[in-house]
Amino acid sequence: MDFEAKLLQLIFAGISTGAVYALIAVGFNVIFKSTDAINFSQGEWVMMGGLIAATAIGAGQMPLVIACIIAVLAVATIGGLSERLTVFPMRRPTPILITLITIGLAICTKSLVMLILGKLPVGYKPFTGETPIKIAGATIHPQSLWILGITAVFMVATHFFFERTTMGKAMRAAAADRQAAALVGISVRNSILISFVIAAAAGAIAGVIITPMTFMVYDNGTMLGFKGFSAAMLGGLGNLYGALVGGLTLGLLEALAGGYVSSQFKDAVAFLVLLLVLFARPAGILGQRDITRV
Amino acid sequence: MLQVERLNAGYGNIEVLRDLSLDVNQGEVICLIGSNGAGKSTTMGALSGLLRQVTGSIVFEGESIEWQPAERIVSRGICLVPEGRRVFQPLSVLENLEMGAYRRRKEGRRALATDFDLVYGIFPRLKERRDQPAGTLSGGEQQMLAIGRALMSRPRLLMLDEPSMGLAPLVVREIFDVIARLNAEGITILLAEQNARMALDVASRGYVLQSGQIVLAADAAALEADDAVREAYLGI
Repeated sequence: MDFEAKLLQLIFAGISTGAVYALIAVGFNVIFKSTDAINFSQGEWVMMGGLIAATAIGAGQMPLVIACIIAVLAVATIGGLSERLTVFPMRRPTPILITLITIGLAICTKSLVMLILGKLPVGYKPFTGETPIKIAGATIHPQSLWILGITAVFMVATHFFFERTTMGKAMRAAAADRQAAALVGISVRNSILISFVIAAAAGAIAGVIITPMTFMVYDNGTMLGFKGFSAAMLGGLGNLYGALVGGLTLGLLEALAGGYVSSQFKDAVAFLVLLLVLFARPAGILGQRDITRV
Repeated sequence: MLQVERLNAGYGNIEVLRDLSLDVNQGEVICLIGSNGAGKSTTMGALSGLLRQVTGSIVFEGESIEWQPAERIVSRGICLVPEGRRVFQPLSVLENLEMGAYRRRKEGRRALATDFDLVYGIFPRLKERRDQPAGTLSGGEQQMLAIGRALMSRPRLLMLDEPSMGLAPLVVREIFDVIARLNAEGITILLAEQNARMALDVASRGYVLQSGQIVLAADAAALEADDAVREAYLGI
């Protein structure tokens, strides 16, 4: 394979994993915005999305589309329930407390999934066949197109929700100033709940679309969550568009490092990126764009 | 309209308000004057529901509200314009006003249109800047936005905490004119101010707060004539 074709091939692979990282990063950002906490169960929701879809298809004999929708709805519900059962009852949920709670949630989720759904890797067929599509000497997997398409739709929908709907605007208001939000009647507790639901749905969607490419096991969540977190940090924690930029950049870097350095090195890229961001530009690529003037 | 009795409030182990009682009648402008740290903002926080560590009784229009959280109190017709304005900086001016009417979101666009007209009528500059992020407004404009946002909830009792803070004298004048105008239109007002002169000019009655207690309550004119008040708060 000549140089250009190989590069193009790596770029295709990079943006499709990058899109998945972007979805996971959206989850981190939405919860960070509403609570200032880092949600360590984000990766578990990704894993659960894949496992529930696979179980619904395998044991449940359901059609693929229905199984995927059920998986996303189920995980979104679990995300909302997790918030209501753990964060909501607290009198003063500080960011550090919420962060610690999500670590507990992650461990519980992982163990329960292992006990209920088992330890075996599961997978299912790609959404529309496996015949690679040839583009300029390189090939792209049809599932990659699905991943890109679904990610794009999700991003647009999320943008629309936060910019155009009253509930979305109220969540932005609550993120900007919790007390002022309470004074106009916005329930900050509800916006935390909604952020957990959105984050869980984003994670589950990521899990559902990536599973046909990689298989899913109960302990994949930690690494997936970590990749998403690195992407969120790279793009700028709390910034919705940062998630997209960070996710795609991280995906590309990983693919290029895997292709030109060594495939062993692939997973280390996310760690390196995270360290570099923390050293050089903790606000991330897009940073905090909030304008302040007093 | 509002009766506050033996209110105690504080943060953690620190008691700020001790047995504070005050009342506000329909149609009045009441001012709380006092120096920094006297407990004005704490009183506002307790009345608006932001501060939850509160004992005593707060009765608004015949109903007890001391256990209500802030997001419920606003639906009852009390709205606080907080100290430091606290507009939603990343949101546009228009979105800030929309959020002011958050509790009325089910009434539909048509019901809100009259309120937007009212606010833009009082503060034409907000209309000019309606698509700008609130964080880019000047201090005076942010104060106007904070008041406009509160008006969008259609309060019967409007509470303002230090509306003159950090503003140029001309802007302060403008803000106090608006306060007088809102009162003339039927909104009852409770005002906490360090700028005692401006506050007493617009108020009908006033309370003087010192170390979390009310030390003096009288008509505005009487307070203005009081020697202790003149010396401590009017700088005469």
